[in-house]
Amino acid sequence: MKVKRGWAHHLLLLYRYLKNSMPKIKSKILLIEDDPDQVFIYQTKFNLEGFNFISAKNGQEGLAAAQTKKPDLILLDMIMAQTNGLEVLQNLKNDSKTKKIPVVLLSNLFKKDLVDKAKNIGALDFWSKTGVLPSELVDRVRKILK
Amino acid sequence: MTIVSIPPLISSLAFLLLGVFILLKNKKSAINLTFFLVCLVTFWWQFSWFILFNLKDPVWAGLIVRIGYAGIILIPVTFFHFFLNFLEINNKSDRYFLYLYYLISAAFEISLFTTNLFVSGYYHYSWGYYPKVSLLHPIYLLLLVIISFRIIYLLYLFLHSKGKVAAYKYPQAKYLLVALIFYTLSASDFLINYGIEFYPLGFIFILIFLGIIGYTIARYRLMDIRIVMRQAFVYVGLVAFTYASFYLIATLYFDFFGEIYSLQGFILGLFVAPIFVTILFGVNRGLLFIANRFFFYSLYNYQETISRMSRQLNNSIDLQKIIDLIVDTIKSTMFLERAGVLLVDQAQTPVFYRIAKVIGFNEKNGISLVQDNFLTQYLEKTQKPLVLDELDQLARDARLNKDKKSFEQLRTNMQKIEASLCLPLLLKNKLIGIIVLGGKISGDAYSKEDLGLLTNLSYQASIAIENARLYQEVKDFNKTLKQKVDEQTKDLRNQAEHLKKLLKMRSEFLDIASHQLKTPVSVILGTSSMFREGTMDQLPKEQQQKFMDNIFYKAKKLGTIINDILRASEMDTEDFQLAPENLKLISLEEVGQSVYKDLENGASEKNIKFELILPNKKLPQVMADHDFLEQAIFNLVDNAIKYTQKGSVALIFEALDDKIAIKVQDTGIGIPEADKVKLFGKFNRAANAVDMYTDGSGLGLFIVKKIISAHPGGQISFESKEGLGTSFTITLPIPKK
Repeated sequence: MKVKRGWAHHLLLLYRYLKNSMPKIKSKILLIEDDPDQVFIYQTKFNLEGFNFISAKNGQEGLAAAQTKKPDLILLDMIMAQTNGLEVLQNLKNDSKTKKIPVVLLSNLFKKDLVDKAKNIGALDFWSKTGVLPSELVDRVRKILK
Repeated sequence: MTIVSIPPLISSLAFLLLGVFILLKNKKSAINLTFFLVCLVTFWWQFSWFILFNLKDPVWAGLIVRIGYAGIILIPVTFFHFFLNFLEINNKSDRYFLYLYYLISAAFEISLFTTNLFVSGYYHYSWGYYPKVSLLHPIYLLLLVIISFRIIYLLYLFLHSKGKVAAYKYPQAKYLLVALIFYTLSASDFLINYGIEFYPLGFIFILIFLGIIGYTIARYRLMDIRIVMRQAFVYVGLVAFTYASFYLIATLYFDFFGEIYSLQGFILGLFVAPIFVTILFGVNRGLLFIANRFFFYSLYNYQETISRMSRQLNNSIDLQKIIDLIVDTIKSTMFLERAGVLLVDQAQTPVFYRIAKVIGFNEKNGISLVQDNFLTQYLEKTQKPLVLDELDQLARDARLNKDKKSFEQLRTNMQKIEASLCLPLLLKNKLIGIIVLGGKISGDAYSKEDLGLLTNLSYQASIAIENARLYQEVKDFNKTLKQKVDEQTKDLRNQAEHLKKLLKMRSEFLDIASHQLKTPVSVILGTSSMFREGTMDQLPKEQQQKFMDNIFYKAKKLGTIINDILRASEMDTEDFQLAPENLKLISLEEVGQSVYKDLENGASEKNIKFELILPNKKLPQVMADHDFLEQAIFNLVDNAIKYTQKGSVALIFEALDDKIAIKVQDTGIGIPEADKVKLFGKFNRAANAVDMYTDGSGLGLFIVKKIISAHPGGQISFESKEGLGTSFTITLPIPKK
């Protein structure tokens, strides 16, 4: 039995076509990390992969950037000299402007209680810096943003 | 039966009764036996007179007077015999005299019955017949006087040299002396033998003698006879009163109205009887009063006292209660004012007595006498109560001069504190304490029975005291045991707490260490992966070179961090110590130059002026671990160069009075105030240092501090202003030569 499709269906098809034919809008990634060497690596990688990549070197700058630049995803280093990553995460989730932005924690300190705490506060995931290479990181970010 | 014959009948029967009574109390005792003899001859004498006074016919009088005199002759010698026994006199001369007197008495007896030399006949007085004496009689009287004086003299000696016999005999002897004097007063009857007519009143004196003897028995246990005297006294008193009343009324009636067994007599009796009964009640009460007053001595019951105290002692294991009980029992049983218990303090040598309880003694005088080894040894040896009155004799008998002095000293001490008796508390032949007693309220001496009772009580007391002591010990032991367990539990808990802290410290250390290690690793991994994947090909050459440099420096940094972590973990104990064999006298110039050489290049690469400043004079050597000290100085200089952008770094060695100062000065970024406190802590890095380099280990200064603190007398301090520079100063003492 052939289903008869109405005008709404045609409108949807048009939207899909238009969307696919338009040039892709670059996803905006915010990395909050205090080690310039690491920022340098990720910056290079994400730019090459066609992301709009911005970074902040401490929690305060990160919060400001999250509010004004409205990134699609935030990568947050767990241990920084002046602020604890978890505090930054808490602030992000407390702020109505930023609370919907997905946050992934990056850290070399991979401990179960920290992971649980972070997820309770609202982190999407918790990745180990040495466990996830830059190319894998890009893949995972893409998957989340899809 | 004539009325005049009644007094001798009474006295004769009384003597017979007393004599038999005393003999039956103890047939084996020579004292009792000889006293019985005294009574027997007295009975003999008096009973004969009873018969004599009833004689109507003179036919028998000649014989009866002789029979009566047979007893009288023996009175002095039996008395002498008794007193020798009582006073325990065994010297030969007195004993010879005794036998001599017996012989003489026998001679008198013979002459009495075979000749008229002693008794020549009889007088017939108005009241009856009486012996008429002859030639030998004055000799008998002379001997009687000699014997009397001898006895009185012996008694006098006895009373004035206390100590020869047990103390309880003194009051007995005193009363015996008085009794004897009364007895001798009956010698007045002899006048009648010489024709002087009066009724013989000697029976009064000998009855007084009897009364005194009875009283002495009741009160002072003469011849160790104990009778329940109080009741006996009352009954005897009532009987005597009844008899005397009857006799008095009968005599008076007879004198005034004649025959008593008549109708008038009976009617009078009806009137007299109620009056008599009324008076009898009063007499009864008076007798009871007197008995209670004078015969309280007999009020304690030996068996009952012991069994009562044993029972009470069994009810308690509390030491103080037991001692209270002992003191109270003794005090109330013996009628004392002063009593005390002293216990040996077993923890101390030499013997030390602790006052457990004291009543009545003046504590100001102290119970000091017993802090006396001599007394302890003496009581332990004799195991008998020590009576004050016996000390003189003991001192006299002591063979050693030292002992003599000790006894005398002891007596003085006892007199000072007014103690009369020391009663040992013995357990398994060891003295565990002493009961010290004062004199009796009545002033009487302790009787043999008292001493027996006290000795018995003291055995009971010893056992009870020891039990209480053992119980106390167990109790104390339990207490200390609990305390010990508590203490050790606390220790264990503290140790567990400490271990927990250490574990936490270790896990934190591992966390941070792994983080610090992973940071450069992640850079190396990330960068090199991008080379492998070809990502880098898309970048210009210079950028690729920068990534290559990153890998190189991060790998190098990783090496340093690993070294730092190993070293820090080695030092991360609360009392890190240098190996003593590595602690030697070293020259600091050499150390300075070594560090300088290592870091010279690094400084010149950064265009920083780096100076090593040594004094002109050679530096004194210091005690230090060469390698560790060099590492500490290296860390400080390395930091200085690292955190100085421009300007200079100086390593300065200075000799001060007694120490050497090593200074590292720079014109670097300085240390923010907030970070100064934790500067030497583990994994701590100043904020501005992190801003400059993110991947320091945070261990450099921790290591420096540990090394310097481990050096004897080593100290480290710093001064810094953020933005201007920092100066670290290590000081090490110069060893004294």
